[in-house]
Amino acid sequence: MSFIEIKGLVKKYQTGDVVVQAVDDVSFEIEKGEVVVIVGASGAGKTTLLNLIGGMDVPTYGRISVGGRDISNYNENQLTEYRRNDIGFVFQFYNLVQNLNVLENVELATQICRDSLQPQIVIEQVGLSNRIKNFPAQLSGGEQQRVAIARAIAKNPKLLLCDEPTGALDYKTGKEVLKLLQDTARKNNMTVMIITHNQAIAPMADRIITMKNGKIEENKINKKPKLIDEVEW
Amino acid sequence: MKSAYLKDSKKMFKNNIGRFCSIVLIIMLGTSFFIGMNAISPEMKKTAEKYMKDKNIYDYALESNLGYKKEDVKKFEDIKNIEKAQGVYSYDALASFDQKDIVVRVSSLNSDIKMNENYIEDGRKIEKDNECYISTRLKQMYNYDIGKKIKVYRKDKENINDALRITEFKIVGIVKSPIYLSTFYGTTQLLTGELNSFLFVKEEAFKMKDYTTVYLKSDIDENIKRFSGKYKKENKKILKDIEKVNKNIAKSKFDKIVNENSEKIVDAEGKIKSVEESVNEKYSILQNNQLQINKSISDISYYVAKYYKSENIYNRYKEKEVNLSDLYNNISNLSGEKRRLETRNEELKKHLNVLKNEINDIQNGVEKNLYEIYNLEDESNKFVDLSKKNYQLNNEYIQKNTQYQNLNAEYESNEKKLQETNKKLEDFEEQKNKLQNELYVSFESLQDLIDNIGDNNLKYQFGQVRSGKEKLNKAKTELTNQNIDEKIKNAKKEINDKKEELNKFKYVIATTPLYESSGFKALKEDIAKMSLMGKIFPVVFFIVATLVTITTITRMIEEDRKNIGVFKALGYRKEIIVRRYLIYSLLAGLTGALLGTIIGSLVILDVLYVSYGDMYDLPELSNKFNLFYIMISFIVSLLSTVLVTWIVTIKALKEKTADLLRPQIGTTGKEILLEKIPFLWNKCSFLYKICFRNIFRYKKRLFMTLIGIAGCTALIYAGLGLQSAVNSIGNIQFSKVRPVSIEVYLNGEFEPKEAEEIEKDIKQKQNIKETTPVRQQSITAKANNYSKDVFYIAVSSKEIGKYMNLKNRKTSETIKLDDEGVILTEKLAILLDVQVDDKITVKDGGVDATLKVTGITENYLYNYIFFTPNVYERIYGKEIKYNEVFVNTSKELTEKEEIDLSDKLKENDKIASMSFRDNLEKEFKTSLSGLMIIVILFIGCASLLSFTVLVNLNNINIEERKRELSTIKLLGFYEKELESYVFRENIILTILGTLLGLILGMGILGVIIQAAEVETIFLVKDINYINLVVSIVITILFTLITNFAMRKKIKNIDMIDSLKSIE
Repeated sequence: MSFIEIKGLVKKYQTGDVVVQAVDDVSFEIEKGEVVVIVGASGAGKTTLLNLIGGMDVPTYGRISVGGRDISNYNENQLTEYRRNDIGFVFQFYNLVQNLNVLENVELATQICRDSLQPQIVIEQVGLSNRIKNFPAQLSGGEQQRVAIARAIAKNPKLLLCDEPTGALDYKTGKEVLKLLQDTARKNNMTVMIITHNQAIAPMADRIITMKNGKIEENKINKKPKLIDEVEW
Repeated sequence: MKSAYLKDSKKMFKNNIGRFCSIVLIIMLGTSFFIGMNAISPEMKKTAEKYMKDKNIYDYALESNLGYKKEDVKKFEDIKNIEKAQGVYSYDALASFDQKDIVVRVSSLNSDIKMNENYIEDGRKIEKDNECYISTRLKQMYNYDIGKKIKVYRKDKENINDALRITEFKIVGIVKSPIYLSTFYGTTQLLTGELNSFLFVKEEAFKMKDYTTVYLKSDIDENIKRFSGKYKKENKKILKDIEKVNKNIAKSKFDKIVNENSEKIVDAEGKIKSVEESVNEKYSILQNNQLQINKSISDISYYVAKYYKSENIYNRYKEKEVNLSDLYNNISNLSGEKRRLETRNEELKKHLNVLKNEINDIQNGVEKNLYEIYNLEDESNKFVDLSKKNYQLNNEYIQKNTQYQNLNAEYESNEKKLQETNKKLEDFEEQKNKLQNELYVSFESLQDLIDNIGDNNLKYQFGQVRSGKEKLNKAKTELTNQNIDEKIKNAKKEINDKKEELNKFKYVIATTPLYESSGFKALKEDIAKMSLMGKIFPVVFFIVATLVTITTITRMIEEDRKNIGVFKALGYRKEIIVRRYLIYSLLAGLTGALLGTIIGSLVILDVLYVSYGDMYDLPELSNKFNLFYIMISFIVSLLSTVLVTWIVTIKALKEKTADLLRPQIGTTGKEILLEKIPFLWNKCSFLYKICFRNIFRYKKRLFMTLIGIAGCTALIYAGLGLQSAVNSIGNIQFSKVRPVSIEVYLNGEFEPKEAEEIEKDIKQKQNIKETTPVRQQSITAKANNYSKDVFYIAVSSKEIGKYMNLKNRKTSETIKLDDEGVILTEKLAILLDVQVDDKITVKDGGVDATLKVTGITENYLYNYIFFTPNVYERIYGKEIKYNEVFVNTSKELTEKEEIDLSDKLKENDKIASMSFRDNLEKEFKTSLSGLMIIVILFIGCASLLSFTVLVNLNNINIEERKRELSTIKLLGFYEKELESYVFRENIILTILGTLLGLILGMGILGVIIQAAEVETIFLVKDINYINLVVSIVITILFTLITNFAMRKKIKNIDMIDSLKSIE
């Protein structure tokens, strides 16, 4: 059985009389430890898919199973529990709490979950040991995103979900961040899902899923994923 | 305007409708309270001024116990600067209410002169002699009404028919009279001394000859405000002239009466004297006749002796005759001596009494000086002074005492002589009567001898003597039977009584200008006090409301900044962009201020006026909308909405369009002060650390929340504090401080022995447990250049504890009353600025004594000095006389038992009146109900504001941090954790705000109490722990309710927002 199994997933939004089918009958599987890149244009349904997998939203139809557990029928509380212990998030705009310093932002996550890692060690891993007392506003964008990644991986999640992690970063910094994600996945055998509209990133992934109009256009396995350093865009 | 812009504007209004409502609500609360509380004082003043002017209130009221004739009224009119004078008959009588008596003053109407016109509230004008107007109070409290009849009567010796032709009136109208501005109508000689109500009837209903009161109106401009200083100044100029005329009228009447009576007395004395003389003459004639007869008897015996040649017969008679005339002489001599002695001793007695009093005074003076010396600390000058004085006094004493001893010796020897003389007189009288009798008896035995002689002439003479003797005896008996002596004695006594009465007879007049009348003064004072209250409470209220409005509006525009940027980018002009925000805030501000004006002017103002109206008899408010305060409210409301909007929007517009489209750079995190104290900081749990950081991150909100919560807590605490301070007067004063059941006032002053008799009589009545006599009287107390007129209560130290609790309010320690000094009530001690062991001086007429303060006792109503009868003697130099009896009953009496007891007690003519504790308590509490309404209004409005502030600030708090909260939610915070993440801050801020508010509240309470307090009332300013707790609980409760309401909002935070770019 695969780590993530998605079957016949449908998500509809209704605004007034208009019904939008953001995710339209999607099925795929992901193995543990894979780095998955989901690419697609704006409005292809990538984010909705991520929301559903991340337990932020519930599907209209279909089944999502993560680590052998079916989360599609979870209630609010179970979903919170799931997000809390199993999922790590990395956002496009970092979403750090402005009022907490680096260490505290990481602690914010580790405080609430079971098998968390030592915040200081994680911060060292992302290379920010010397900025540990700094506040987000005192950091560059790349540094902030690294804090965000530290916050996500410090929870020791089974699944790391990243929504356009390089979207707000320049080329060089974006590469650094992606490298960090790749390294983390390899080292910890962590499953990582990266959502992006940037096709160029795709070669770094073990699996590339292309979405279009809410459907999966292509689901291919990359036998030879490239190291980030080799990827150019 | 472009329709897309319009659409977006509409949407903005729709989206912000909750915020709109909260701004309206806050402004409404602020303005209504501000307007109501501030307008009450000027509007009440205006109403009173208008009422006094429209109804032509008097400028002077004149009273005289001798009354005024029509021509006297004319004399007043003739005074320069006096425009009109109005004579009024008035008579105090009783009317019945619920089986009890109330005292009403019946006054005559004088419709010819336009002065003191009645404000007819209901009913019609009086047409017939047997119709009357009644006061509103008679209707409200005593159930009289139009169409009903009211009967007035007296229960004492006075005959009401001498004063009134008609005693039963038909009520045709309910009126307010400018003569009675205050519902404390005045004092009377009847019952308890409180005038309960008034009645107006036609002049024709009176039978009295003289007017009792004359009202004057001066010719000063009637537009001058009665409460102004100018009015007082102008009228004061004429006061002397009026006083002079008033005095002259009374004086000439008085002189006339005194002269008439003195003449009568002199006449009567003359008559008595002539009667006395004629009686004495009669006595001396009788005595002469007696002696004549005795002589004739001895003469006849001479002839008889000559005929029978027996010397013996004659000698026997002659001897008796001589003896008798000697006796008569002796008796009249002795009587003279007796009269002389008596007169002398009377003089001596008078003299001795004077001396005795003088000696007593000296003794008291010495004792007082000694007492002062005893109490002196190290004032050596004073010691020398006092010692010198004492030396002089001692000399005087010795001199006076010698004189006294000498005179007394004379007096005593005289008394002895007098006794002897009386004894002798009695002896002589007895001898005389015996001898006279013997003479008569032996005279009768001469008849046989005379018959034998057969001399007709002798026989005739014998017959003459016999008939003369009989006549004389008859005349004597007649004279004695007439009891003339007794009659003269009585007549003399009567004359003396009349003389004394005439000496005591006085004329009592009063010239009271309006500005000195008690009702007018009380009204003026209260209006001033109200205005002070208006300056504190509502201003705090308004400040809080304004601050919250500013925060809310600022927040709204900041949220909308992206839209501003978009419109700016699209090329909309500045004015158009600003316009919609301005319209929004203008609408909110105007609606709020308008609603606030309506509620403040119509509801709050009315509630306040009605509650004060209980104390004053004024017509409806002449104007309810105070333009000045309404304008201030509108200006402040619009400034805090429109101006703030303008400033914030313009500021936003000045930013570069690109910057506007980008998210506003949030406040960055910073280390807070607390982190510098690792000892404390490290102890905080992680979530608390976040919490503290957040609190200090949003400084503006922190500030607003603190001010908002602190302001509301302060208002609640101050309101509660005022309420409990006032309540403690009613509750503690009557039940704990002065629990005496009945205070019985005596008809005059009585020595301890007489007072005991009265007590015995009281004790015989039912339900009486114990009694003690006291003396209660006014006195002037002085210390530290302060001087206060207060009451003293002189009472036995052993007894006082049963009737009053003298104790320290703070320590609850009982204070013992002893002969060392006096105990003061707390307020008096504050007024005089004295502490225990300080000295105060008391002054009463010529009496002047310095005393040590041995204690300061809890007391809330009126100021008292307590001391023992011994200290009384030291102050006044004479033995105490009691004028009151404290009575405790064995159980709580029902109303009926009270009436029965009071009726029974009044049978004793030494008892004048009495007051029952529970009645006093009830009356006092009723009089405070007005204040209570205000306090409840305070607390209610403050709570409402507090609540609104909390909801609003919380709302902003959550809105502002939506992104942060949604991220945290996404990270897997449970709902509870998320709530506590937000509310922990609220709770900490609430606690801080509450603490701050309590401190502020104590300050406000202090100021308000100072404003509300009068000299006779003691309001506790100290911290009341129950109030502290209640204020805290109320604020916390509001916080909890707000948090509860906010939970839904937190629950609805959408996690997906966190993924979106920042808007």
